[in-house]
Amino acid sequence: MIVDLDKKLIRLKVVYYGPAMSGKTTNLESLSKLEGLKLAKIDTKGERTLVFDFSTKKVPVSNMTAYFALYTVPGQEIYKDMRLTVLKGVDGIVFVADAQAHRLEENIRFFELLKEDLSKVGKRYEEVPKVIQYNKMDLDNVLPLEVLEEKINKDGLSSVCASAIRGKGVKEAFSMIEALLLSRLERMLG
Amino acid sequence: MISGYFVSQQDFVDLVNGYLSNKEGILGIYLEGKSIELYIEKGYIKGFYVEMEDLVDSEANTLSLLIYSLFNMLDNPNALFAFKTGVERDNFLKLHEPISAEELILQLQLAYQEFKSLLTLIITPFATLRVLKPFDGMHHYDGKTVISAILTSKNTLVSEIRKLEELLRSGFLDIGQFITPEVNKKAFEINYIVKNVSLTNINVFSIFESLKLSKFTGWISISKANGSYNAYFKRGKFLALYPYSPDFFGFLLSTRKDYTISIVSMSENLLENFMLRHSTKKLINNLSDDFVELGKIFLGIIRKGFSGLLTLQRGNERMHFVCKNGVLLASLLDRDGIEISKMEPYKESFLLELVPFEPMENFWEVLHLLLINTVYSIILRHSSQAIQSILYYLASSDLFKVVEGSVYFRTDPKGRKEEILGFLSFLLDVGYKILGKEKLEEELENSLHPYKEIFKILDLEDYTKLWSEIVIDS
Repeated sequence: MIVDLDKKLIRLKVVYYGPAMSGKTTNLESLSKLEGLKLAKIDTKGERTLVFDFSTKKVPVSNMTAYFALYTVPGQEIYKDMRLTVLKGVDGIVFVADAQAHRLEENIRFFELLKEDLSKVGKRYEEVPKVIQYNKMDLDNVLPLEVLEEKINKDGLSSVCASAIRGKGVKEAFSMIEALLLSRLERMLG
Repeated sequence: MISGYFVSQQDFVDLVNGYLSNKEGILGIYLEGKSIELYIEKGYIKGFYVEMEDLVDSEANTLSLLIYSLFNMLDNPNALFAFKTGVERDNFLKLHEPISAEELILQLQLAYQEFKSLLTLIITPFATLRVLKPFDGMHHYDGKTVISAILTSKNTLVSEIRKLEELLRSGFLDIGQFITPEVNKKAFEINYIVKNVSLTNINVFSIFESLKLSKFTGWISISKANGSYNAYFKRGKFLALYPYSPDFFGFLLSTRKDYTISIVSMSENLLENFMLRHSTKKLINNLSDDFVELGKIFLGIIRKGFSGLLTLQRGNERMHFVCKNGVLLASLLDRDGIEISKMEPYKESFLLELVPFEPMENFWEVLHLLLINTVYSIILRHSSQAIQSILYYLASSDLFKVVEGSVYFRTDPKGRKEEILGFLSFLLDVGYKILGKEKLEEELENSLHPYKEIFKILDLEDYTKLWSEIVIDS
């Protein structure tokens, strides 16, 4: 969170985290279409894109204005430095899981990796608001929601099913993390 | 203003990615003897300054150049930094599109990763490219160095690196010879020709003659247990002696076992600044690191275009940073001898000295001190105790002092030629009145005779003759 006291602005950083090709970028692309966001892209090799955005909607909170900056992290190991850079200063996480059965282990591994990465950037896992989005639920080979919840969401986080490529569950996932962050902010600002 | 040290990549990333994200000002980074400045406005980098003259050309893609010049920060993150408000330099490079601090860091990390992959194919960025099979746009690469090809491309640095890697892997391009980077032309040298050799083993006259003929640039250090004399030469000509002392010429004539000599050659532009270690006009003198932030000092050096010498002392070790117009020419380490060093500056427990540039030639003052002492000793030999006492009193001033029968400068005599000449004329006048002109000339001739060879070698002979004619005949 970055607070600009002069301009009375609070910038909240939301990172879409998850395994490579789980649909993080598709989420942001869909969201940008739905919300009219401006996206900037940095191409990473092998995977698709790392997208981030600085001009999203602004929400009044107390006598200040909060706005969101959305990021995705590259899932590949060689970009772990970039992943940590993106996570630095994160305020909220949308964990994008690939609901396909054969990617379950990778989802679980990345969820553990999230805990490690948060610790590396000086954040306590428990203190960072998180939501889980089970993406690609429109495909045939997906696991049932109950299984996904049992295997991935062991902490009972808020979760949503999605098909980001069809724009489903995208806005919902963002709204969930937005609500968590704003209520937290309101508590902080009294 | 904040300043400090980067000790890890993460420090650099955190500063740029966090602290600068909504700031305005200049981030100065001092890394491996080079400085990089980023000009930031509302969290966006709008321009930069980088000391990579060989890479900066009018065709360079400025964003690619900026990112490439920051690769060193990821290779070796040990650097000093300072951030402050201010205006950019005149010669800074403007980015066509300002880039946010955060995006810069991400682009940098990405490009660095890709570049490491490319390096496995090219060995060095200064490898020359040659076309093996024709392809569209091949003229951009043929005969160019890798570094030139990627920095002059209109593509982003990342995409150009990828494209180049692809062209190399698919056999369209190959690497040829390596071009020596221009930066090496700036390399400075320090070489010990003789190191700590007893004066008894040296034929000083032969050495001096040889140095003169070889147009030697550097210094000769004659050391004893409690100090040393440093005589500086530029292209074979005697330039200066520190500390000021007439005794130096006497030592050259003696073969004292307890004296050692070192002869060190040094690049000319380094030498002129290195001599500043003897300057008495210090901006900062022996200030403990408890009171000063080194990052701020380096930033000040860059911003003010400072020329001079920055010295850090820790115990018996000294680090000298030779600066010219705000650019660090070289770092020298004085530890059992002087050497060019790439060591990072001390981070703690040091004393700091900062000396601005001033000409350090002092052969005129040194020579006149020798002449003053010559006349002074002649007078002492031929005068009564009472005259000696009066002379002792007269010779002590804010400029001169008398110690054990010899006259020394009490303070830095530069810019006080009239006083020096005045005192010498006064002594000659006293000598003339005591001995008469003929006797005085004879005594002077006898006293200076032993130095004749030295004067000849040091090219001071004509100078002393001229002086004799002007002063004595007058």
